Amino acid sequence: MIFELIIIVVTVALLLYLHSKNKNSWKVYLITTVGVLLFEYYTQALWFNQNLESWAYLYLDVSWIMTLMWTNVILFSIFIVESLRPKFSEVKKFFTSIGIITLFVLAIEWVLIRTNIRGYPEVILELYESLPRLFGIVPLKELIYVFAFMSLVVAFTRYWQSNYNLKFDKFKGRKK
Amino acid sequence: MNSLLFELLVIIIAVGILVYMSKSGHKDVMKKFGLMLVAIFLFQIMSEPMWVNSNLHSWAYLYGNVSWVLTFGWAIIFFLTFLVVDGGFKKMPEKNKFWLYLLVATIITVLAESLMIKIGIRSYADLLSQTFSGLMIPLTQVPLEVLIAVPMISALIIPFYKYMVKEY
Repeated sequence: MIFELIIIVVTVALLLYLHSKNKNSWKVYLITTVGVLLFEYYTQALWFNQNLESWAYLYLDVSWIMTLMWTNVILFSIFIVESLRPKFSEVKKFFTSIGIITLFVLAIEWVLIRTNIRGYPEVILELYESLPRLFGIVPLKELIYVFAFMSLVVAFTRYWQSNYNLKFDKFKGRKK
Repeated sequence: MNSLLFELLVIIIAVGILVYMSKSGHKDVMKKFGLMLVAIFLFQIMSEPMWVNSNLHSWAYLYGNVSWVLTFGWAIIFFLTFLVVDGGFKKMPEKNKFWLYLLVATIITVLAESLMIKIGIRSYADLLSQTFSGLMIPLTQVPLEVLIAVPMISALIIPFYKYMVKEY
C-alpha cells in the first residue's frame, strides 16, 4: 500500500511541477503512459508484478501503478536533459535520456526485486544468468533489455510529440 | 515449402523492395533499411523469450532464437505497409496514416505468421502460450492474440523508425 501511495503522490507532484514549467507536460505524460502500457501489455509474460493492492492492477499482472512509475522516470529524465542540455542535437538528447533512464531503472529494479514486488519467470532468470553481471551486480542482459525497452518508448513519445506539435523543450524559469 | 526456399524468398523479396524503392525515387533507402532493422532488432531483443524460431538454417540465426532472415521479413512487412499506405493516402496527415499502418501491417503479418506456423518455422514459448485463449484467427492456425500483439508491436516499431529517419 505504501509503495502504491508513494507512486501516486510522486506522479501528482511531478505532473504539477512539470505543468508549472511547460503547459504541454500532461499531454506528453499521457503519450508516454500509452507507450509504456503498450510495452507492458505485450511483454507481460516476461515478468511478475506481485504483492500490490488489487486495485493497482489493470489486467492480470499489468499494474497501472507500475505504468505511472516508469512514465515518471521517462518524463523526468527527458525533462532533465531538456533543461540541462537544451542545445544538444535531438539524437544526443535521445541517447542521453536513455542513459539517465537506465540508471533510474536499474536502481528501481534493485528496490522492486528486494521488496518482492518484481519477479521473473524461471526462463528469464536463466537468460539473465546467461551473460555476465556488470561489477558483479547488474545482469548485462537486464541492461540490454532496459535499453531496448526505453529506446522504443522514448521514440514513441517523441514521434507523437512531433505529430501533435507538443513542444517540451522550453521551461519557465530556465536561466538563459 | 522447405526452410531454404523460405529463407531465399525472404531475402529476394527484401532486395526487390529495396531496389524498387531506390528506382521509384525514395531517398536514403539503405539508411532507412538499416534503421528499420535496428527498430525490429530492439523489439526482438526484448521479446526473444516469447517465441521460437525453429528449422531455419544455422546461417540464418544471429544468436539464440533471433534470425536475421526473419528480421528482414519484418522489414519487408513494414516497408510494404509504408508503400501501400503512403502510396494510397498521400495527403493524409501522419497522425492519421499511423492507424492505417497498424491495420495493413497486421493483415500482412497474420498472413506471414500463418505461413510460418504452417511450415514449422514459428511456434510460441510456453510462458506465452499459457496466456493464449486457445481461439484461432478463422482459416488460420494463428492464435487470436496475434491480432492484439501485432498492432502493439507495430505501434512501437513504426514510431522508432519514423523518429530516427527524421532525426538521424
